[in-house]
Formats: sequence, C-alpha cells, structure tokens
Amino acid sequence: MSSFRMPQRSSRSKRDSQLPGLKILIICIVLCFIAMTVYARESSTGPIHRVKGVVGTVTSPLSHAGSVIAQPFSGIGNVYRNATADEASLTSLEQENATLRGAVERLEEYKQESERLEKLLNIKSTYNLKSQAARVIGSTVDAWNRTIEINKGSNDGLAVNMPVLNSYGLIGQVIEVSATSAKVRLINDEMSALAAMIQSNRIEGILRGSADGSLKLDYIPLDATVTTGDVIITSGSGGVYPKGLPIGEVVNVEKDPSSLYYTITVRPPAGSLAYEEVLVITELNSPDKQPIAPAEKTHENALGTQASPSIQQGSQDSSEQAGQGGSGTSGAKSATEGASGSHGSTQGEG
Amino acid sequence: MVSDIQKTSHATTLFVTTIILFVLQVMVAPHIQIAEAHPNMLFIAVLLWGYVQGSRSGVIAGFVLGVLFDLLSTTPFGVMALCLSLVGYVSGYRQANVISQSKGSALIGGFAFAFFVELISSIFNSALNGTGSFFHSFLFKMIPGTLYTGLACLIVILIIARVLESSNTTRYKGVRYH
Repeated sequence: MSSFRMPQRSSRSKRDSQLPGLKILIICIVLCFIAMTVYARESSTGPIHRVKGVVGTVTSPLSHAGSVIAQPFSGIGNVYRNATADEASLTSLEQENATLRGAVERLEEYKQESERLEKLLNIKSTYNLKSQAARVIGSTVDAWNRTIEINKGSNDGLAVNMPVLNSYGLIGQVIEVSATSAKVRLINDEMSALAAMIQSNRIEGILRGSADGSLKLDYIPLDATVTTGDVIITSGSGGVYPKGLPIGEVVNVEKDPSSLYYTITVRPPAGSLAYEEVLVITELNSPDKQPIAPAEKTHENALGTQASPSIQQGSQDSSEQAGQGGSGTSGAKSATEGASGSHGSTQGEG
Repeated sequence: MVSDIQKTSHATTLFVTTIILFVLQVMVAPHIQIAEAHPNMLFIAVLLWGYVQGSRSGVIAGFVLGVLFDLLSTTPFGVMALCLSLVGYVSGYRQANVISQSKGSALIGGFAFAFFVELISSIFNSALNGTGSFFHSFLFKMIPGTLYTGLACLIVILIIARVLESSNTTRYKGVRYH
C-alpha cells in the first residue's frame, strides 16, 4: 500500500510546484461565484449591501478630499474658454442676457398671478417636495456605471429609490445608501429607465440611458406629433418620481417604418451635467402624504418604473389639469430654491 | 533567482504601492475621466503583485483588491474579484519577477490584461444587469477603459521597475562592502 502512496505524493507536489497558486485560484473563483449569487439574491438590507455601506462610509472622507482637490481643476476649462471668448461671443451673450432678463420679469408676473389664483381657488398644489440638499463628493470608480456619490446618507433620512435633482431638473435616483453618503444612478446610465412624457402633447414613454450617455425616449407611437425642441418631463407614473420635473428636450426624432414607435433622442439642458449640489426628494407630499418607500432591491426598482409603460388615462387627465408646466414646474422650481438656499446642509421643504 | 530577503523587500514595496494605488482609486480616479473611462488602479496593483511575486501572491492580491473594488463600485458584487484573481494568477504564471527581466512583455501584458478585465466585466455586467449592446459597450467602454488603464499601468510599471532595480543595486553593494 505504502509503495503506491509514495509516487502519488511526489507527483502531487510536482504539480503544485509547476502550478503554484492554482488551488487558491480555484477557491477564489468558487468564492466569487458564491458572492455573485448571494448578492443577486439578497435585498438592499442584506449582508453584502451592508458591508458596501460601511466601506462607503469609511472611504467617503477620501472621496470628499478628492472632490475638494479636483474642484479648482474642473474650473480650468471654463477659465480658458472665458479668457479666449471673442467679441462676437460676448455680444451674443449680452443679448441673450437681456432676453433672459425680460423672460424672468414676465415669469415673475405669471408666478404672482398664479399665486393669487391659487389662493383664490384654494387649489392645493399637486405635491410638495420635502427634500435634502447634498453636495457631490465623487463619481463612479468604474466605466460601467454613471453614478455620483453625495455627502448625505441614511443619517440624513436618505433611502434607496429617492429621486435626485439639480438646478436644471431631474438627474437620477439613489441606489445605495450608507450612513454618511449615498450613490446616485444618473438618468443617462445604461440601467436607468423612468416614465416620462412630452410636455406639449402629454404622451408618455420610457426614458432610458444608453452606453454612449445619450437619453432615448421609447414607446412614443408614430401617430403622435413630436418635434425637435419639445420639452420632456417626468410623468409621475410608477410613483417614484414626482410629476412635471424637467428632464431635457428632444434633439432628434427618427421614424422607422418597420417600427411602431419613434426613436427619440433627448438632450438634458446645457450645463445640467455639471453636478456640484443636488437635491434629494425625501418625501412626495401627494394627497396621501406617503414617504418614498425604500427599495427592496435596487435592480428591481430601477426596472420598477419600466413596469408601467402604458399611458394611464387618469394620469393624463390630471396632468392636463395641472397645465403646461403648471404645478410640476413650480414644484421643481421650489425644489431648486431649496437647494440654493440650503447649501447642502439643511433640510427644506420646497 | 530572487532571494528571500529580496522577496520580502519587494513585498514591502508592493504593499506600499498598493495602498497608494488604493487611495488614488478612491480620491483621484473618479475625477480624471476621459470619454467615460476611468483608470483601474487596483488592477495595476494586482498586476504588479503577479509580475513581481508570482502567481500565488497575484491570486491573493487579485481576490482581496477585487472584492475591495466591488465594494466601492456599483457593479455586481464578485465580478471584479473574479477578473482580478484570474489576472493575478496568469500574470505571475510564467515566472516571478517578470517586471525586472522583461519590461516590454510586462507592458504589453498590461494592455492585454486590461482588455481581458474589461471584456469579462462587460460580459458579466450584460448578463447580470441585462444592459445594452455588446458593440456599444465595446466602443464606448471597453476600448477607452483598456487604453486609459493600460497607459496608467505603463507609467506605474516603469516607476516600480526602477524602484525595484535601485533597491536591488543598493543591497548588492551592501553585501560587497561587508
């Protein structure tokens, strides 16, 4: 018996010396597949998600320090552009400024009129936005996701699934929360999808991100009238995003004869990709005043908005009642005011 | 071949380098994005462990740093750990201390392994998240990611090769004088 064992041992040790680390590699691969399975099956309160939260909390000071260091450099491009602006550009900017001043004055008039009418008719706003201002402290560490990291977390009342705005409109949704920081998936991320509508004709579709960073509005039927420049807003379907938040405008409409729907490309407003301060909507004060429920699973919630692509007649009626950028736009505007006033530190109600 | 003292000294150098690269990954990498691509500093650290210390150390470093990367990012957990474990093993498979003996193959290997990581990540991300077309991922994520990480790898490998060479030379001089 022993004479048989000796050669076996020597061949095993020979193989080990020829392939050092093979056993460890096999163990690691098995562990990786187990981890993938556990992660895919667990909820957002599972052990791996919790460890992720802890790591996020531990590394958030480093991310914050990085963003502070990087901030002066991010302005270099603007400084260069401003310094090299020619006379024609400055003249055109002055003209644009004058036009915008006029527009602001007119909008102020409309706003006051709207407030008077609202008081008169005792019309309750469709929703109030209870929000939390936050500062962006980092972005994704990998090329596969378009996410940003903000300096507020579960300690400040943030939870998975909450919508995030900047001063231009909707930018994304909270997908991971640690005690002191949170990760936000941007709307132009490949995995992002949300219910949106064309402001002018109130037709609903699904707005998706893509690998190249552009936004595509799907499920808009060919019999609808869509033109370049149409404003896209959130439709409110699915209950995750409040209705009427501006997202962007249509820049390209393609009609494929073999398809039932348009291929529409949407561009976020100019400057909306510069994220420094954001506003997280912590509660949608709709008539029933229900806070945004934390997600069971991030992935499911990302797809949750996809689950209701159909155009709801009731929703369409109410949106028509709200008017063209009526309460929705005012909600977004008040949210923006909250963000600029709080400077990432206070909780405000827009 | 490489003595035990040398190996310990190299391990210390690599340990310090890994900490620096980890800090760079968290602090700097998110802010130096070019065309959607970020350099993967932890990949570079794993490659160095494989190149200098051999496949056993490479696998362990790959697994640990891969898990760290997965905890930091929003990609499905375990994907980067798998990729980096494989990179750590294969990079140190041929022989240890490749970095000092053949810088050229180490640098080419850096680009090849970076592409491998991007490819495997792409396949797993698509399979687990069900996103996008492979062509778009290839064009907008894999190629820029490979080039950016490969270039960062090139710089780090050249610096580390120099540091290791200088530490070897100092040690030999010390032996001669004694």
